[in-house]
Amino acid sequence: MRIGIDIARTHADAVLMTDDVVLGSVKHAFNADVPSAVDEALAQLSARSAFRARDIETVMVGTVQVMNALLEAEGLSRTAVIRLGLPATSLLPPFAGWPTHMAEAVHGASFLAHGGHDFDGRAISPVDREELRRIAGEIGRLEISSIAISSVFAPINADAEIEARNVLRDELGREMTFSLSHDFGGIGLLERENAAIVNAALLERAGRIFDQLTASFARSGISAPLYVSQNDGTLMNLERARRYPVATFASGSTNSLRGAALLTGIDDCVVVDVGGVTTDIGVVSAGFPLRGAGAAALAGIRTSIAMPDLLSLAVGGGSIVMPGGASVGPKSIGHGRAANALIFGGRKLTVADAAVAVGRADIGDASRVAHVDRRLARRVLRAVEMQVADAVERVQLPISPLPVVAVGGGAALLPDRLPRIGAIERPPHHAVANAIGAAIPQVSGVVDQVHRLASESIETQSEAARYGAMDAAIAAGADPRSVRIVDFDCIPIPYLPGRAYRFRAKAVGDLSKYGGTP
Amino acid sequence: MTLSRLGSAETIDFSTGASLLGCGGGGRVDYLTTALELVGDDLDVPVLGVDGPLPESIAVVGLLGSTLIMDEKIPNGTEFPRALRALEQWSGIQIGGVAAAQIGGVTSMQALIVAHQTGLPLIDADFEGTATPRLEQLSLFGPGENRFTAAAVTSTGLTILVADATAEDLEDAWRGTVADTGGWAAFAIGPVSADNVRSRAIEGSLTRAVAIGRSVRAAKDLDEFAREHGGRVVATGRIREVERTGDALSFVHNDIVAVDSANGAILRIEAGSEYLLALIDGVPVASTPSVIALLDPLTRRSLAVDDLRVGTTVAAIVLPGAAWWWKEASRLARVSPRAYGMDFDAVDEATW
Repeated sequence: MRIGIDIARTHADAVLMTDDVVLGSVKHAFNADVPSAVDEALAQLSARSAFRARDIETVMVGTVQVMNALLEAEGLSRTAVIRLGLPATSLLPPFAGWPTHMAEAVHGASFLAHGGHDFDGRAISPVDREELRRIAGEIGRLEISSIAISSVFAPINADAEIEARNVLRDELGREMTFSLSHDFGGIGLLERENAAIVNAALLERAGRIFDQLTASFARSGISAPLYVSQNDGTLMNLERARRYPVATFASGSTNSLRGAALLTGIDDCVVVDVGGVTTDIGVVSAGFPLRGAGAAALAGIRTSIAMPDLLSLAVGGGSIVMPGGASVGPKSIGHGRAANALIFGGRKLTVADAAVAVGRADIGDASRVAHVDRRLARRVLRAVEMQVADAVERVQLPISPLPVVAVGGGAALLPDRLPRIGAIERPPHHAVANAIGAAIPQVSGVVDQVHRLASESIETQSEAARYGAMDAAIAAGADPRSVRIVDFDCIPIPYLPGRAYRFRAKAVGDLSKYGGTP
Repeated sequence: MTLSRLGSAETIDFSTGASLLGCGGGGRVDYLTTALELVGDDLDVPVLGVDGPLPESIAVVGLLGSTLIMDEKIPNGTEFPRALRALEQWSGIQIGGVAAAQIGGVTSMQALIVAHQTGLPLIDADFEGTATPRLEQLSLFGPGENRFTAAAVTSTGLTILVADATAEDLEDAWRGTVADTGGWAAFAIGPVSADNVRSRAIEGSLTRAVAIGRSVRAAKDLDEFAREHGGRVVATGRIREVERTGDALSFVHNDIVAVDSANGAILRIEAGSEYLLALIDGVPVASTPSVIALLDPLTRRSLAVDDLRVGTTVAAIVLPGAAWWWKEASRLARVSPRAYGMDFDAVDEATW
């Protein structure tokens, strides 16, 4: 048996699963205190499904806490950045393009140094150890405990980053933490470097978040290994999550999308995730969310972190109905939802109240909305439906439309058919699809490299990229027999002769039950 | 309205327009947009119209090689000033102004940066109207005088000056070397005389880029935007197929198929490094030298050829290309689909 938990802003959801079967689920609303919300969700799950702590083999957690720490610029560590690439790259130094308040929160120091490689693997300039020692001296005088290191073409050759880290660690001691850019993406120096910087700034904060989580499980008597959802929906172990917290950023929305696919058994679908404050619409293709084109910006910082391509509407179950019912949201009740909707004893008419008033949903105290004008309630729901239908249409495949699946705590607010769209699926356990998505036991490996082919054939190099991704998946804990390539492309590099290609491969496999070492 | 200065107030409009005019190629503008923003309010470059007085000696600046590699191995900012200095040292003539080789993509933004760095005015013109993978397609290399001196500074710091060279000579001398020395280079051709710029340049390119950037951001919808600029939206839908192969002329060939969500029509885009030909249900509706751009209909961002994946939603927009190419059959032949190895005539913009 395994437990999946998803921690969002206003809910902690938990499911107990064996294989693809949901044995029990809990949706727990909370205000601010995440640890006690997790305790409470686990207690409720235990009360409902009567599992024994020792029967839990694995715990999988998806959480938005790390991303929220960045979005709120809260608890970030001052970080030193060292970029290896001189004499190249100085047109755009580290932190270029960052919003001022984020740079102020994170910038500790930044240095350009020698090192790095060209795309064909040749060194731009050798790493200068004396230069790095001088930099270490400067960092040592500042109150900095986290360093990000980037180097040009690190995805092809990470030696410069590793050598620089070793020099700095020798100088500054082992308490210093390092984030090396080659762990955070492929070609595109600034985005990859930014991901490393953000990671470095979040290490300490994320460490506390994960400490709280492990403490919650310990209090519940569960000692099973803990895995954390990463951006593509696959898992990493706790040790890895502590080192790469940025890899958790997209897990919330990704888990909802993947949970919807798992619950319906439909690997290609449009997913409508109706929450308390927003509704997200995304597309699942072969069981994974479709990604947006180009780099995603988080808190105004462009990074290499792949985020699912979502259309977000500022309307959810907790959205307040404006006087007259002519418009809905975006001022949502948010955190105070449970206390403020009419059906929960509040004073403001919300979308959830309207759904209960017309008998579409059965939540809270229906007598509290007995006085609500049914025509007004229908008009409100209709307005929400039209917004959702418009958004679905924008992402839908034109000729052979994908099935539409509704999940999330507010999925009950939608009708069985959407205007112009047709039937929507609302699978059992739809309200906890995100926790179910978190509990999908898969791990992945990725390769993104540029190669200029010499005598080898393109097929040989393609195979090498595929095997590289598969090896990375196995190293992340995949059962080797289950590993398969889910995404591969090989793009000739424009404007360059001589058979230069960019190879990208992603492999996915089932989490090995025999304790792989992800 | 014609530009007389290009400064920080125009940065976003300019980069948005340059990106769209890149027709899916020409490199990602994001980094250079950031570089221009770092300059801040100091960015204020005089812009000279081709119909007004021009400096006698002009350098035409551009990039050679892979802009993808430039996204990784970012310039240090000295490459273009060094290329200009090499021209001056060789010719003994002082450069008095800068013009972008092509408006599309990062080249024109680099031209703005080098004008800012050197204090030279920027000419409101380019030599393509869009973006191109090959030097001989630049309108600078027309009939008549077609030999120029040119200096390339590679990302590894080499300066390669070639004197009295045709575009083909420059390709021969530079392209292979650039692939062996870091993957991209900054180049400057010149000094080019004011007369040559007047007769060969595509006029008003900077003004057009800023106007396009401004209105694509501000327009009520993309239809309105396209109509404002004499073009139209030919299809909006999702991509169903992307096939990529090697190609001798453009180094890469892409075959992209999307389905129009309004009527099920099949949009096919043939692309090299840039979008070259658009067909609806098998009938060509637009081609080089017209502007073919694929935009994300939600964000209105111009999508690069290598951004495209199965499932990406695109709005295909066509805008008139530079009129210069249509004035003589010999000019058109240099940039029509046949110049890219595709057996199609250029689609007459009057049929739109």
